[in-house]
Amino acid sequence: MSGGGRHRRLLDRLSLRAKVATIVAALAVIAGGIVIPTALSAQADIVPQRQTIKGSDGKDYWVENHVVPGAVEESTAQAQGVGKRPEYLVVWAGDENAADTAVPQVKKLPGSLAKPLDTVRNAAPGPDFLAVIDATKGSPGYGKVVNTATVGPLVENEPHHMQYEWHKGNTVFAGGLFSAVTYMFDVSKLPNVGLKGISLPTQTKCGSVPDAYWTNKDGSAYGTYMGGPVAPGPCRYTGGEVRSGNGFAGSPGEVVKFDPNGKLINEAPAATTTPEDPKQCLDLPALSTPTCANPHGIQVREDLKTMVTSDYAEPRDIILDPVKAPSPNLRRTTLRTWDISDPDHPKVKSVKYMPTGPRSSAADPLHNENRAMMETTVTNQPGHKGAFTMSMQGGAIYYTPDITAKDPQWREVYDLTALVKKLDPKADQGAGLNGGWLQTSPDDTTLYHAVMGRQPGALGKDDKGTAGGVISLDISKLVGDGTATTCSVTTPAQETNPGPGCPSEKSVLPINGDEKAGGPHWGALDNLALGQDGFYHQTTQPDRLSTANYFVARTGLDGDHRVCMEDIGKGGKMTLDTAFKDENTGQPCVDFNRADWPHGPFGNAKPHSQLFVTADGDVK
Amino acid sequence: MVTSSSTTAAPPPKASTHPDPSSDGSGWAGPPAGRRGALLIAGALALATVIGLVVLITTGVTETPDAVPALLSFIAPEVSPASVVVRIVLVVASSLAAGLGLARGVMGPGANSATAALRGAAVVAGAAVVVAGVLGDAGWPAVAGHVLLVVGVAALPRRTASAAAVLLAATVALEVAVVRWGPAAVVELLVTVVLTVALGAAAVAAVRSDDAVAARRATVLGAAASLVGAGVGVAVLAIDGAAPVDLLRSVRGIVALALVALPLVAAALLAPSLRTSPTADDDTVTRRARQWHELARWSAGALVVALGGVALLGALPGAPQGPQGGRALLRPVTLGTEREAVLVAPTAGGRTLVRLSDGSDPDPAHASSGMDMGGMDMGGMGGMSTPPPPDLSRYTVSAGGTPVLFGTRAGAPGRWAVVDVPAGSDELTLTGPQGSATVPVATGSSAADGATLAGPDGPECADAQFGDLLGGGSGVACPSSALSPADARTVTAAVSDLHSRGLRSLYLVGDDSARSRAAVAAVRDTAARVGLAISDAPHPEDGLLVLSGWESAHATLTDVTAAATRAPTFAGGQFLAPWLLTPGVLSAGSSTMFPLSFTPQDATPRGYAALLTTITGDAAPSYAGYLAWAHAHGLPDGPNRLYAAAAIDVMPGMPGMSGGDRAGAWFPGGGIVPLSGPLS
Repeated sequence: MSGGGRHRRLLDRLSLRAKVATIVAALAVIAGGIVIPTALSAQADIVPQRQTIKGSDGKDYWVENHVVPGAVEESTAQAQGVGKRPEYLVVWAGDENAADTAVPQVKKLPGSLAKPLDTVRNAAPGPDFLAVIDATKGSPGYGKVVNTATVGPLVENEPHHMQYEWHKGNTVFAGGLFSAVTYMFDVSKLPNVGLKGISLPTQTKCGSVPDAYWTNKDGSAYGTYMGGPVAPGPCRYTGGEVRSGNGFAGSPGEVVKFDPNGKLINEAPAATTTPEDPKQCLDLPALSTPTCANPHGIQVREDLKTMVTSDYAEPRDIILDPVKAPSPNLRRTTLRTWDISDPDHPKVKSVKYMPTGPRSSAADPLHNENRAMMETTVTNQPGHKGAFTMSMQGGAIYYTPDITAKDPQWREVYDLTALVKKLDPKADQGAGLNGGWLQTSPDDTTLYHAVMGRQPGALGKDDKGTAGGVISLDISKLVGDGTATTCSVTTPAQETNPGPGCPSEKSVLPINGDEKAGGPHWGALDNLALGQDGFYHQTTQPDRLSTANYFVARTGLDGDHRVCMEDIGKGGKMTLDTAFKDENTGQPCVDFNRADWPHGPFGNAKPHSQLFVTADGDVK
Repeated sequence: MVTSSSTTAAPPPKASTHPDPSSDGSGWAGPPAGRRGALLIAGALALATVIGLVVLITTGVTETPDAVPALLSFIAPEVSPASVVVRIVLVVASSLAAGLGLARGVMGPGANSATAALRGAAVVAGAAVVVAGVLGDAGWPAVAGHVLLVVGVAALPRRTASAAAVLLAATVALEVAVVRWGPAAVVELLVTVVLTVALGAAAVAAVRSDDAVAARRATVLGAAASLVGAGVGVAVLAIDGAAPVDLLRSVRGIVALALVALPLVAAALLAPSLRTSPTADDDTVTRRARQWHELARWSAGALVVALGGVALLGALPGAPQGPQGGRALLRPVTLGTEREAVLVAPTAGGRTLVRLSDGSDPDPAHASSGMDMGGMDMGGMGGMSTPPPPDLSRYTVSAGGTPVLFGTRAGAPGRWAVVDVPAGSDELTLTGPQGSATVPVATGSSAADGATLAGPDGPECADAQFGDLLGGGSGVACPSSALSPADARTVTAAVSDLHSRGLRSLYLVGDDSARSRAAVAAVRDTAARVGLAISDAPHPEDGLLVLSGWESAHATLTDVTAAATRAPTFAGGQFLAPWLLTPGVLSAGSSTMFPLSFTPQDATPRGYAALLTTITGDAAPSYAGYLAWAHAHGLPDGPNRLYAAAAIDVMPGMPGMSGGDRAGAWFPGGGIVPLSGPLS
């Protein structure tokens, strides 16, 4: 008997109703093929809620929440399910232009190919956004994106830094590197995000290229604007000071102060009135008063009435000769301490050049230990007055025991060469490791540092590069010794063994260990801990941190756009929190390279920085 | 491919007296009456069409895009050849299965002889659908649904199968049409449905059958549907918009023509069997029957090719723009293996400016903007290598005369040539190292001045025409021909503002264009009025105001940027006329400022810049192009503000490390921010 006959008999046994049902089922499957992918997309049923404010230019600026339906209730319920209030990781991320998107277009019907008109539609840039991620440990929604708060109408802001740590009631200050804009977000009702204010480049005329922020106890914030005045020539600051600059994204930068609602209080010059070292402080175009003032990192000791900023680089990219490297002296070697006795009018107190180290040479000055002082972090305990800084290209950590001194003495205290093999067994030196985030623990015992790793070829054609990760150093002895410390890395032997009294390795956690220069640029300690009362409180013993694998795509130092969570165990050992998974891939870390977001199918995004935050009602 | 069950001579078809072996037992038996059958076919067609149209409309496919045909000719689905082949096989096989299912349903058991063909088509269609899923070209739920329908058509009892066939026809038509847009989507859906019916009928007619009535009905139906298909094919051809000159020189034109010709051929091949000859003897009848089957097979073959053409059409870029005398012409050209964009500005005859793209990948995701490392190996860093620049000495254009070499223009992307187009010329010949291509041209009067186009301001004028073309405008004059009142207001307002900011003196750089001379005069008048000094020679503290065209501005800024690295130079700032807003000029300066009547980072200007990326990787927005496009769209100018621009990298000192911004930004690798509020 033929198979066809068997089928026919089988079908003959079906009633007409069953046959019709078969057809309807097929139709339903077809329809499902069309509809379900859309219905199941992240943005299904999401009702955008826009809050608009007027900018100083009279235009409308907005934040638009795309809360996943029921996310508020769900995250609350899920947190309660594990006996907690919800905690969130807030990530400031930029849309990766469709041009960069690796996510393929979603195809549905067989043979229907990708719709070519989508090529036109996708060419337009998408909005940048603040991603709100469930960070309640143990929650079933752990790692899920519960809201994306997009900003508009400005696109391609290149979202960069926020403040280093969030405290109850704080506004979140978030900068757009390329748009020269600072956004002030209201996070009191997380996962919903509000827009309190926006600072436009026309308001901060004496600086550009905003970088990092520090929030004070009163909720106000200082911010570093790394680049020069928007227009070249003399610029008059709030206090009446005048400095000459070479224009947008040039030099000198400034420090601004915003009130808790985002209103600009002050612009303060980072440049001194006297010329700085003309050799080390190259400015393009040349300034009659040379300066290295391009502040990037910023931290404050209000109790010591002192602020510290680290100068990174003149951010402008002037190509005079496409085959000849610009001078390495465009990358700064300086640290500035500021007198903030008058908090609204900070004044530069010292400008110090970090010493070159034992690895430094004229052959490759770009990778001298003191090249590109990106970040700084202060000690926190009342008895301590020290601060640390690090060099992005130099791969070294510097320290001064007293930032209140008129003439602070900075010295190299650690060379990343000492632990680079723990990050990448094949690596042999710390130069060019592209270090980023640097943060002391609240109790001043540990120094955390994110390291992207070195790109292949950075040190020459035979350089294979290194992987990156996050490291922690024991600094208790160094800090405890105060000004009596003798730690100073000055000899080649100290590159691998800095000696007694110096920082020592506590934990090394490679991230993307198989990928050169694929480690994190930024991180944040979870400064919130659940108290006996069920509310979150500030803690001096963080038990986890988060890192982000992204720098600035335009520089060629991009990253895989994943945000990870790391546990800090007893003894300070860091381990990857594998429960913090991407909701789509199921792999550890939240992947910002995805097709769909709650705000739409905008594809990959670039997460630069993050904060641990809770709704105001959940923290005391 | 359609196959018959036998190729041997068959007895003359006779009316069947056998019961329907595939009756579903619902009480309906035997073939429908002629009128009833026609009504059923019409109903099935209408149902399939309505289903398809409803889906197309609800998913927005029938909306007409805001893109001119010239732009659409550059975009096509990014798919592999394998995906295209699978699409063609899938569409043809599924259509054959659906068509046969429909034909069986309405023609009764007489069409059962086509069952083998139906099952063969179903197997091929099912396999193609699964392959589409494996290739990632289809969602698995949709694959499952399509397979279910194919199985249903092949395995269900005839009458029930015909319902599945209607759904399958609608599904195939949807799959064909969904990659199109506007009216094209509708007519391609229609032609697919009609050709599906025609193919099914022709396939039934092509196989030997004992049922002469059913065979005749199938023939009539096949011929009629083919004629209707040819009619819809005419609509496809018309809506496709290919210029007559392109119909036989492009794949798309040939395919579109085939959609008219092949159904006509199919109908013609079926026509002989519609003649009846009551006096013929049995041998004659048998011979004719054999011939008719053979003709029906050829007819079905023609329809298979036509349906394959419909499937292929969706994988091809839109029809290229035809030449229109006096207007700019933008077309894709293929020089051997190189796919380029050519802009003829305009096709008016006489001195003609031609821009050839630089070979950059129009897909920005594949583009690279890095630079050479000067011998420094940076390993596997993305975006850090640049293909060697094309050898310009090997690219020429001619209008029948001496070939003219392409060259570069400072401040303007792409390759440029000025060629004399004699009266009567109807095409330009472009030649590159990989091959050559022709571009049709026409003659006519143009708003753009030929002398300006041939001069240093030609690229800016060409870009204005380009923007006007993309915006659907009716032609624009060269911007440098005169200082527009709007630009005069913008420049003078900026000068007043600079004075109010404390600038003490300006040094002006202009050129010989009418616009530049007028702008210099206007600036001098304003400066005299507000008390701003104009320096006769540059001084370190001066501000620099460049009022020239792109080429001179590029040279000026390059020199000033180099000089400023050695000593303070134009410490008052480098200011540009608004028409110098284009990446090629901005990138020559270190930090520049300019007044504009729009904000480049706003959605509309940014959207315009992004639109250009669909054409070539080296396309760059400009003030002239954007304003022409915006004015063609009826967009008003906004208030004038000052803007600052600079290249921002934040990792200076590593040339070539830049991952770069891709094309489509107003200042790739840089930032443009407002510097002032509205200028009064």
